[in-house]
Amino acid sequence: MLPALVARPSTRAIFCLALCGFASLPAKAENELTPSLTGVIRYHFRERLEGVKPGGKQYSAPAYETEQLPPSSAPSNEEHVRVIKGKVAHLPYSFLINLGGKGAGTLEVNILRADEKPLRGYPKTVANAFAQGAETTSQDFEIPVTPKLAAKIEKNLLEKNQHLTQVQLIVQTSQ
Amino acid sequence: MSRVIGKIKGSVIVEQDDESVTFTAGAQLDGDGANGQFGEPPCYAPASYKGKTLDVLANAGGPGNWYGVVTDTGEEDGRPIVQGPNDPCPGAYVSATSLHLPGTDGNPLPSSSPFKYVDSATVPFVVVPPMIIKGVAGVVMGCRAVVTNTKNNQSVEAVVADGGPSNKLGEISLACAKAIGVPAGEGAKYPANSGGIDASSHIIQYQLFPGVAAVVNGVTYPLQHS
Repeated sequence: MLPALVARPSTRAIFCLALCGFASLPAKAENELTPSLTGVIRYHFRERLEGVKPGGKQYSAPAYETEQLPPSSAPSNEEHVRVIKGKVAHLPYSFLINLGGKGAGTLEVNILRADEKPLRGYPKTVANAFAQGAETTSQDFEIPVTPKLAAKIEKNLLEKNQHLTQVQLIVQTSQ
Repeated sequence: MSRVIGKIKGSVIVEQDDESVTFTAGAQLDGDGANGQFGEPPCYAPASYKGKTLDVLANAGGPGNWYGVVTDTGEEDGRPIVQGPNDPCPGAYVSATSLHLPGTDGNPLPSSSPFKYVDSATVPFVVVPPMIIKGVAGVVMGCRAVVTNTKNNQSVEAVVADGGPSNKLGEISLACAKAIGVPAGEGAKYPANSGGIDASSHIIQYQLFPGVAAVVNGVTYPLQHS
């Protein structure tokens, strides 16, 4: 009876799907133990407000625009490591973020220029960056920008009368 | 009948029948106005300052371009006012909000006074863009606001106390963030620079009551024409 059923194409497909599903269960459960990471670039700015009375606050409260780095992935055979690798549109840098590659809980952030040399002050390493039970779910890193790059970001990303004050990378864990 | 005042990045700002203004957005953080008035850290200070600050100094600008602290000339190319020995945080800069508070005698305070501004660290307040201030008949600055985190249903009475950029909606003080369970940069070196919920999340509900003076923690705030 069973060989006859398995021989039917539709039954074979269901059988294979079920087998694949069972085979993938342990790997998925292990991955869920390691938090996934997100990397976000914040472009902080203030805007010169128009029509402010004398003695009034001339500039807006600080605010920011964001750009998202690609999602994190786990290298094969390293389920407890999370890696973000990629670029964003408004910075001439590439980002390499690694959680767990240099020891459990250790976060390493490297920012590379176009010539593949690291930015001044990078790579940076944070031990126990997202220790379980701790309040900290994010780590932030200042990204130095030259006046020329700041002007370019203001022109391409920000609105009229908005002035870039700081560029920052925020690495967050979902756990 | 309700009226759409405008839209900012997907958020619709509506004037309701009762003349309250509603919108949903995220919640960026504004540390401005924190000068240690009630014992919490100031927003900005020079590098020589020994204590903690709420925000990284770069967000206040720098020499020639002081966007975020009070200067001696009132202009960005002036010199930042430094708090004196009798002020709450000697050595720190003075950070301003758009809403100005009077002195205990009811008279206006000088711009250099740390007490002229609303303390982000201890007072729940809301930041609004010019579109709202100019888009309704009632006075917005100093008015009552109710801020609700729809993810946990936590809500707080707040005051509209600062002006934001023209293309941003959804910004609150650190005290407001803490009151409704929004990450307020806990554990971070600069809380105002790290926490918040991105503007695109639309999980924070804002209701403003233009023309109605805010009463927060027993303090009645002045309505201020812009």
